[in-house]
Amino acid sequence: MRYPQTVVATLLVILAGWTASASAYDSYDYPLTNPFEATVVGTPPDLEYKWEPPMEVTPKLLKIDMGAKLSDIQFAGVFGLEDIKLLFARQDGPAPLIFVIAGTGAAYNSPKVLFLLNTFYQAGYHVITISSPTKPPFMASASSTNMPGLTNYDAEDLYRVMKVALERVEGDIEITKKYVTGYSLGGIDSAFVGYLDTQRKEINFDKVLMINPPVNLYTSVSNLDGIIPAYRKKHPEMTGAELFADVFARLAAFFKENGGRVKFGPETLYDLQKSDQALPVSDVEVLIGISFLFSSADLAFTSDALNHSGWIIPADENYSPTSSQSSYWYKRSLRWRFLDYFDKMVIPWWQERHPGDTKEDIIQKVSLYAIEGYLRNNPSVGVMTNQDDIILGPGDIEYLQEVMGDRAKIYPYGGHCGNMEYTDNVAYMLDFFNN
Amino acid sequence: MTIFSRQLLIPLVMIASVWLAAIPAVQAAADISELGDISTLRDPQFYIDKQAQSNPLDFLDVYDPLEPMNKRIYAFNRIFDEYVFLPALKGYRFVFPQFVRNRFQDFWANIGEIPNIYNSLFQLKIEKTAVSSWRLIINTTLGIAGLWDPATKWFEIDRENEDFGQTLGHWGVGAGPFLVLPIFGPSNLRDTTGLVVDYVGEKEVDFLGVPEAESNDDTGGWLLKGFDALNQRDINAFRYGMLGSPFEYNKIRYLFNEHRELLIDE
Repeated sequence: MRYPQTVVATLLVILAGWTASASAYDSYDYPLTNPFEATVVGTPPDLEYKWEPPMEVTPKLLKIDMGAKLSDIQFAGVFGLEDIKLLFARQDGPAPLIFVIAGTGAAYNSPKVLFLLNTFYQAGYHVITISSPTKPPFMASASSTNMPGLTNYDAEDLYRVMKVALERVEGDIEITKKYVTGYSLGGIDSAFVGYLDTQRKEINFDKVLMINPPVNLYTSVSNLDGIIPAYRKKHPEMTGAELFADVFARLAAFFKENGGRVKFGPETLYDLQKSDQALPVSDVEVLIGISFLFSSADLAFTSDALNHSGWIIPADENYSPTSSQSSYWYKRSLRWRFLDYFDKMVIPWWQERHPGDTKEDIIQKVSLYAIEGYLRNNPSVGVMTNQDDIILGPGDIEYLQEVMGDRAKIYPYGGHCGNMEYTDNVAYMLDFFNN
Repeated sequence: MTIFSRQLLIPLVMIASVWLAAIPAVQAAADISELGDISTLRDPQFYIDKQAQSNPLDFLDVYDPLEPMNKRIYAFNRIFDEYVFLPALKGYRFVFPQFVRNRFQDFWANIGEIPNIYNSLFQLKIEKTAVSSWRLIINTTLGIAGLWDPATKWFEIDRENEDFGQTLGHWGVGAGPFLVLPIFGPSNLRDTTGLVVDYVGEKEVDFLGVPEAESNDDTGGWLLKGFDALNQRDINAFRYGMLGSPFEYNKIRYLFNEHRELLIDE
């Protein structure tokens, strides 16, 4: 698969994950025990789940008009169309249908999503993939709030998209069961969608699997926002220019040596880390911090521009990709960390709609605690994550185990989604849905 | 028609990012004016505070005095790509299987060794000149007029990439203003000059008679131009909108610039 990477998307590969199942804790042989390294490089290619024989999947592009506001269409136009784009892979015969929701800042066709699409397709499912609600094209074409990250509202948007997508494909395929899954932020999104579905009963999902979800959204975001400041403290002896030169030299040398043969995707980083030019394992986390920084900037800008809230682009100005101001907008948006977005844009927006809610209340309502009863009492909901997932805080693993019991599959290693493609993990995912 | 290679996107992003991330907080903050006029924003103080504690972002700047025109051409290219280039590519891929397309790719790459050779020579890079010459000889003979690439596959002689823009850069010519060329995509004054020189250079050498034939205003010439363009588009994995970012133009501009600097330095 030759899927082009992009600036942010490439780095976002890092954030997303690939995970599966082991029989016993102590027999788990995923090789990367440093959680940051696991998150960055993922699974070594020869330890990935293998299909015999491998099948070629050629998903179809679904374009759905979600009735985006006219004012938003111009924005969406940057991305080609005002329609939201999904990928759809169909089986010829009757089969379960699974929705896959991407992680923070990732698109419906990002490498980790394609991995899941491929996996479930080979397992015999119809598959539909959806961008993260935090992805600007999703925001412009399908968000009713333009405040992504509020998982309860995001679930409403996702649910609407899923219903329309279902209507679109239903005549074409035979569906035996309906599932939803997602990794990272898409993991918690899938649980909120599942919960919403128990209220609305318009899709009736049979099973829901969260892969490396945040438990407390604020903790996860703080962890990711905190990587770069921590990195700086770690290297007081080097000037920025020296650090830059060091990383620059490594990457340039690596790509010069391997230029013609380097393929894109998670394996690129794996190969880099195997080469003489590898970043020291102790420094690899900076790549995660950076990718998060870029997606946070895009998100904050898109939210501000669509809501005309006047933080980054003057409230009376309309976004235009040809504006001479865009370089300023770009630099301003790079000043916004995710927590700035949350504190300054999200909280006031929420409090306008829910007077009296404190910041702590909001965090509770968008984190897994809000749907604890659903998670506790619903045998069709599962979670697969790692003891060393970098987006989790103290007590989060215990919380998942306490609430979900043996439906919480916790692996000792893998960082954030680093082991998603690992043989055992894929086997667990398939087993969860098949049995 | 090379826009920029996929291989370089990743490192460049990382480089940009790491730089952004790594510059210590103690360093003097850049002038707040790099953020434009913030006085009409909701909370200018936010930026003033951030500017004091964060890294300057002026490294993202690329000299782009023609920005308004460039952005319009960029928008035109996006539309052209969506409604002309990509549909044509779809047909091209439908008609020719991967194996055949690989032959076209190797063929055009072999023709393109000519500028690699003379530009390496112009830069007094003797080893690169030898490498590209060897590749040309091997692939033209053993590779049957360049339809195959045994130089890489059997002899493990990797392809070099030198063009006249790089030659100019090597001898100290600056990039000049950033330019977005219709259909060709991102460039700058120096590299556009290079494109023209290489076009003339290839035609002068007229290797295998292809460049001359391609420049003709007849059916054969336009057919060759079309194949050349489709081959380039086939290889180039870039798709407009694939960054999913409202700042695609700015990011591409920066990456293009960094990519060229990197090529000139090697």
